[in-house]
Amino acid sequence: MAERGAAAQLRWAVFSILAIAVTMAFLFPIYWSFSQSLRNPLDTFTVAGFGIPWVNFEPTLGNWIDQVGTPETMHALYNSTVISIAAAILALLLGVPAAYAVARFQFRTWKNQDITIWFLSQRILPPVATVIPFYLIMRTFNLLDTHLALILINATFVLPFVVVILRQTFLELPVELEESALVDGASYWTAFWRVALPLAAPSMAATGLIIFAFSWNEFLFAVAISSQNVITIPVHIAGAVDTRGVQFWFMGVRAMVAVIPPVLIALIAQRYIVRGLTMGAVKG
Amino acid sequence: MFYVPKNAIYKRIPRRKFLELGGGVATALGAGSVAVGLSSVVTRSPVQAASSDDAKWKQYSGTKLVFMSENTPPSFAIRENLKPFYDLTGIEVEILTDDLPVVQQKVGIDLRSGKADFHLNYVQDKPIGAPFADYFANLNDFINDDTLPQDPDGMGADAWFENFLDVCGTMYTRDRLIAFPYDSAVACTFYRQDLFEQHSPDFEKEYGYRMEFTKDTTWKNVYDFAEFFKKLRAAGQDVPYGYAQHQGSFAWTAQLDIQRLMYAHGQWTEFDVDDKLGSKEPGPTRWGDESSIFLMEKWKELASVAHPDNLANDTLQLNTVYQAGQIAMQVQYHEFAASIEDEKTSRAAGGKTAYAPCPKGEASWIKNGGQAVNGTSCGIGGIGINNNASDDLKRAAYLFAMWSTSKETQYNVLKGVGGTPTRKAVMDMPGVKEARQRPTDMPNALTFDAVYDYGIKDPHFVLGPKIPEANEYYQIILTEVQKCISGQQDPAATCESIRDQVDDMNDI
Repeated sequence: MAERGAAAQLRWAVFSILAIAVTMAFLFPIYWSFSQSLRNPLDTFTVAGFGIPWVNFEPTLGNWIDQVGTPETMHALYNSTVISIAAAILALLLGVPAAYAVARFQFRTWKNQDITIWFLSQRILPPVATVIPFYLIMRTFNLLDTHLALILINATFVLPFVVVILRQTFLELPVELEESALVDGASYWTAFWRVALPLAAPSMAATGLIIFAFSWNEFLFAVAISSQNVITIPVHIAGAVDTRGVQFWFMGVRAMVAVIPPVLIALIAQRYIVRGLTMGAVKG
Repeated sequence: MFYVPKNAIYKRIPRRKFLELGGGVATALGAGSVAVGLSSVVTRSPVQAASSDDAKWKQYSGTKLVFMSENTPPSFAIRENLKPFYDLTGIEVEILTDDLPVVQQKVGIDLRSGKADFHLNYVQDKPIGAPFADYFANLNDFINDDTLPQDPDGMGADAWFENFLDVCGTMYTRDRLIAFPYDSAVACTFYRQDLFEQHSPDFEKEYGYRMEFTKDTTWKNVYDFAEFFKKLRAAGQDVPYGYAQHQGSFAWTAQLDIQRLMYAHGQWTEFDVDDKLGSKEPGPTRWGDESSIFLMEKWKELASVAHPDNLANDTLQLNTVYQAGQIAMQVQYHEFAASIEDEKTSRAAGGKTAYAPCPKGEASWIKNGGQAVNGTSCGIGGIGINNNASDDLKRAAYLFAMWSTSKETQYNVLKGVGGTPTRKAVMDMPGVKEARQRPTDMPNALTFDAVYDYGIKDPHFVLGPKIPEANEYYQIILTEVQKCISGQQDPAATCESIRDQVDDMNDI
């Protein structure tokens, strides 16, 4: 019995060490950006040790003061916020009914599973393969360098997540609740709107947060479609590389500015995000 | 799933209703796109040859133009100061800026699809000019048009620095001129004069000559300098590495980097064509010959004494490494001097850095019987006009192309953000001559002796290769040379692989 307890403790210790190591590996780039953002530009590569403020170098807020207040940074934050929120709302508006339909109705020509896999396939398609077609479409409609273009594109690419995650949510809800409503004279729409949707609200919130984060981090289409007016925060970060070289100090500040909003949202809604991510993990 | 009885009655949408809905949506989209498509504007007041200059400048007042440019200092500076052009012409110009690869793609789509969303294009010589040469308007038509105003300093070859008009404006034929030189990036040597002076006595004891940089310093000397600094580091001294290459992920500058060494030794070039014109059918490449294999071996030897992050740094990163005091010497583009001399961000500022021409060829390394020169490569960014635009828009665009490359505009950029002039007349503007010496308020001018007085002149200047598949060529060079430097293949196999791929690309 004591041996079994010791083995369990050992296993726990090994897993803990592994978990800490993996966490540190994932957190290191963020820490590095933070450290860079507090360094004098002259100290970019010359700081010893792990670059710990006050220990390895004297930190300065100069880079933050230079960067955070600039119109370019504020504009990029504004653009990212508008595009990510609007794309998430649009994807939910389109994706929730689609997910409900796939979960609750029997399709005949294309089977339900085929439709679900088709949605999933949109995520398997390499986005870079569609950059030029999207660029041409947006140009045709004179939408280059507009919020609407990036909202539509981001919504397109996060839509499969909404459908796949929420389909599983609706499948997990007892269908009898909606059938009871139908027996009481409700239409399918009313059963969806009044019964299923309120029950799926936590998952919808989680899904919304996840797709918000995807749109927030999107770079490829943002750099192709934007030129001046709708530069998003990831494109703004990349803009710290110019003919003066790589301005790591500004890149550090911009990266931290970019990370803060999604991290805050994630911390606030952590419980829902985990639920959203694990939904469908065990059932097909 | 909901239970649905087998005999359930479905309420279907009638075909007529479906078609009505579809037609409504299509009409709305069509009307919307027509409405937004009407947003570009061109207006014209007719002028004649005898009209006043003011009338000629103002003949397109009310017109809107779009200029797609790389994110270079002149474009930022001009964008911030467009009012004088608007006051002069009444033309509104929107300047869009992006990284060069993005500009290549956007401009390429615009040109090849027969559109003119961008009336004016940044014509970076080889990456944009060489593949898209046929899509730009012939500027000679406007230079010879007496209903357009003309720059008093002229727009011909004599107005620009030697070879500049050829680099970005002449592609495959002298019958057409596709761009005016807008900005320039010419290679020269940046080195830490303070460290060279400090360690020269020790270097001289070991190598038998002084550690200094002149126009006669060869690539063999560069190897010696780099090896010396590396030895000092190995002995525990607190010194930077001596040298590093541009062998990171940016294919074009990686190609320009090795091109300098190759051209310095017997003016070796990739193809047997006129380097100033280039060719759409360049014929078999010289890669794989004795010279190229020997020089590739030397390139690999240079890499062995370079900074250990050599394969991670392209041009921009390398400049940052130099700014950080991690290397004592770099061959770099003269537009970077402004960042090197910025004391807030550079450890190499404050008189520590000196500038010299690119290294010269080492006589004993020349295998083709040619001459040893200071192989100087470049990127001359031009401004060109989209030939898909209407005649009036092209004429309006010419006004901006001329104004943006005038000596007054270039002088303002040089004073403001550190531009790199392309017009000779800028050298005679107030304060420019004095700015070539420290202390200076135009740090790029510190490179002018090495660049404008020496590097760009024949026989040192290498312009090409101007071939339609220039960008594909760069990628081949980058991929194969990286394999060589990292030890995955030997120099001979590298040159032969480049030869096979390049000849295949050119249908040889």
